[in-house]
Amino acid sequence: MQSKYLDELREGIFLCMGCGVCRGVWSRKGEGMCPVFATGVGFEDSIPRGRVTVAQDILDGQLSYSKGLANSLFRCTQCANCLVLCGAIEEETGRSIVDIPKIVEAMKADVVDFGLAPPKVRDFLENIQKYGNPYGEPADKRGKWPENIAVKKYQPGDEYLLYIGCVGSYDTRSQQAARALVELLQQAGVSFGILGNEEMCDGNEVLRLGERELFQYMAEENIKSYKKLEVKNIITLSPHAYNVMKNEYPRLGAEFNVMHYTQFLSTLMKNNKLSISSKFKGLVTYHDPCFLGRCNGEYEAPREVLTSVGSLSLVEMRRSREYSFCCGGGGANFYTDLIDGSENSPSRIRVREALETGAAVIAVACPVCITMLEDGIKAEEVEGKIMVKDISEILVGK
Amino acid sequence: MSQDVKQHHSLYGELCSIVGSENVSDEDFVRRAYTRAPFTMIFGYSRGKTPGIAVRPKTTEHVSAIVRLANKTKVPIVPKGGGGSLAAFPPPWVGGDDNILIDTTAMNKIVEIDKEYMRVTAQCGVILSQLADEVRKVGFHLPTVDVPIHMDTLGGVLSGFIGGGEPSDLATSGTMNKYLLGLQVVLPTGEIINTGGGPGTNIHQSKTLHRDAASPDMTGMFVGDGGVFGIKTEATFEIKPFPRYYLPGIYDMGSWDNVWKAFNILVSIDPYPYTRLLVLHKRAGPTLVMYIIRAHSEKELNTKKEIVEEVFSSCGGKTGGSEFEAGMRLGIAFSARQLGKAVLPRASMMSYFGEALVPRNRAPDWLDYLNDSADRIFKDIKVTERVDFVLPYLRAMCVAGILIYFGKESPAEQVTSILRDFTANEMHKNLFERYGGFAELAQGIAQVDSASCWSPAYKSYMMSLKKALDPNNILMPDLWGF
Repeated sequence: MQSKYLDELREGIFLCMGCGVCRGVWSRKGEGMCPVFATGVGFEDSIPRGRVTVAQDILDGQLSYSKGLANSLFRCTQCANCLVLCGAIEEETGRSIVDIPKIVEAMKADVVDFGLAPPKVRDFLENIQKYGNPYGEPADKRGKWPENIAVKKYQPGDEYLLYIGCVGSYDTRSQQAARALVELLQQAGVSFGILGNEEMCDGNEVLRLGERELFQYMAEENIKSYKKLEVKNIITLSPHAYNVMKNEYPRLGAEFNVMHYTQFLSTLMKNNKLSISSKFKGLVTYHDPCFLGRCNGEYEAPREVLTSVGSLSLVEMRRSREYSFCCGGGGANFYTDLIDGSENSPSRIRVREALETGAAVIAVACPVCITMLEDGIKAEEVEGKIMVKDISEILVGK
Repeated sequence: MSQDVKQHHSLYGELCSIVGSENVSDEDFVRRAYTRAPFTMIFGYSRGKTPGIAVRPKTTEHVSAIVRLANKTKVPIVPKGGGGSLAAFPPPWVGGDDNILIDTTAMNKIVEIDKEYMRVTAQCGVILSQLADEVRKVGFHLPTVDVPIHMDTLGGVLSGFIGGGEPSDLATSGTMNKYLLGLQVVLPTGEIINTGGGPGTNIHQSKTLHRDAASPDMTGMFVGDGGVFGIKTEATFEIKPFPRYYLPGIYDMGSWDNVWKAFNILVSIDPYPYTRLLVLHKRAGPTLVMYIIRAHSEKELNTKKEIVEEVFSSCGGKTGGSEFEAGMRLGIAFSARQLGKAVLPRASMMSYFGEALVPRNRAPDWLDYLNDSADRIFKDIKVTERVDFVLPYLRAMCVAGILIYFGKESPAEQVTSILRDFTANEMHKNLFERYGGFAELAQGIAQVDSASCWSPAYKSYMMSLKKALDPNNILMPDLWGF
């Protein structure tokens, strides 16, 4: 069973020295850690170095894909902590020499092609294919998140398209963040609209899960639709959508600008187009989402908008910015929950790290992080001590 | 694709009953994942053998039960730590199609940090940087290995490196073995013993407070043993108050003669005025000495600084300016944490060439030999950076070698082939016979070369010990290549 997708990564796969620094370490302040390694569950194959070893063996014909290997691969959240920890960069191009998340993604793509994906991954992909969202909810429920807030549909001529994404549209908790963001945009007088029921999944998770053909179809459909609507600028609620639209859509013909909402708000504030009157008080710690921070290098904008609320104090967790610890939701794990880990599940670890700071609030800028970390708080039974708020909610004073 | 009905390893069921099925795997991809050692390609070694089954115990009792089962069934065991060995561990001839690989990384608990008696006890699967950091959090210091601190487990380092691991302050503190107070070990037959001056050697003691029991020093027997005498499951170390004052510095000494003069003066001073010394030298390039001083007070720091600077200045050294920058650039290459960031952007392969433990006064000759050899064997290979280095190990010995970064365009197979041939056919022979040195790693491939130097009487003694402790030859069979 030959790999279809690994060969293009062959050079990096065989240049990996196997040192294991990509795993990270438990306690070192300011350094990252692979969330799968942190769970303590699994064998050498489930840590980044082992995944590269497996890739070498697949390319060499020493190993074939199996359902067991598929289960191991889909535990990876593709948070890119391993990439930062490895740090081996080609001087000329600035690219990572051993791009472990891409290697895992290629193996996932092989697994999907060979029909070996775990049932939960298949369910996720089938739901996307049938309903356009991972939850299997009807498409006509997608546009109901605004509830009683009046939000206009996007029309040609509007300056910005606000893209909410699946989690923000269907998950009741994340819908609150979407509504808070709308409130801020309206307060700043931004010319924007949403797609409502016509919005389609952005496909970031579909690509991360290795269903490349489905992703290409979805992306092309989205691009076609945005072109028809003459969309020039997109503001995303989710870093996942931001990531895929910024990094993958252009090669498929997209020609619009994409911003995560924190970047957009930061620009508005700098241009004195948005003043924050929130009186949100207390000690707040900010959790960098992987797809905004590590994957796209945006660490400042969320902090800038957060600190614009003069009544709150920002404190950093021991792992932050490029070493931020993944909440465990990436790679569609927010749905498939294949990473496991029980008391050492990434979300619980992250909540414990937040508690160490003494903060009463974990600020996030990602709907997936909201759901994961709130689950972590429940599992840790610390509901009275700490809560999760999206930055948009903090900015509107909720 | 795997078959739907898998034929499990013969011990699968029994191992599951010991550690739980989630901690046992005989899947092909799991077993193959354990066959690679770091830098395998660079050092020219092939993969190790594929184990028959992998197990992740969490307690000493788990390990004991696994070892007993292995004895009952005569199935060999290969223990594995963090997989940071530089010497192809387990070496290709150890283990086989059915052996049990014990992955110790789930035994990663820090059992106790005792501030009153200044000691720490940890399970041997703990990663060294985690152990060092936890000790540091309470204001103490435990010298652990410098390279690769993020990768190696406590048990792996105690088993593999000469003297149980070389900390960054090796120059003045010696190896980790010097701080080791006692061990908990599962013997090859499955019995659990505690060594050192604690409950194992005195049933009325509840704690291991010192190493010297009213018995021979059995702790040292398990240090650098490559895991053949037992599986270390817990270790207790002495810890010291962390020296908070820190001062690094660099001198350009102008010539090797100047370096060596200063070096010999400094290592003879008692107490040591420095914590770390590292000579970095490039043929036809600068001859730099980097030093680090750690102290518990500003006064102590300044006193040590004065001594060090006086020695360097009196031997022709100069400090400040461009040499500082050059030194930092070279020095950073020695930081494992910076390995990828600092080194790989410039080159894609690196090797410690001929790094070994040599008597202090033979170190310059050893480096000359390595440099001449490197000129010869790499004459057609693009080398991006080449720095020879020497650092003292206490007073009598040095660690010396060359760090080489090969250009990305250098053919990996050719480089590894040259390195393999040189190491196997020439280097170790010269190291032992001409320069009175020791292979730095007491593990993997180097283990065999080291064992080849044992006197007949010592070899016979070691074989008798192994036979007495491990009658079924269960643990790391034939690691020493007898």
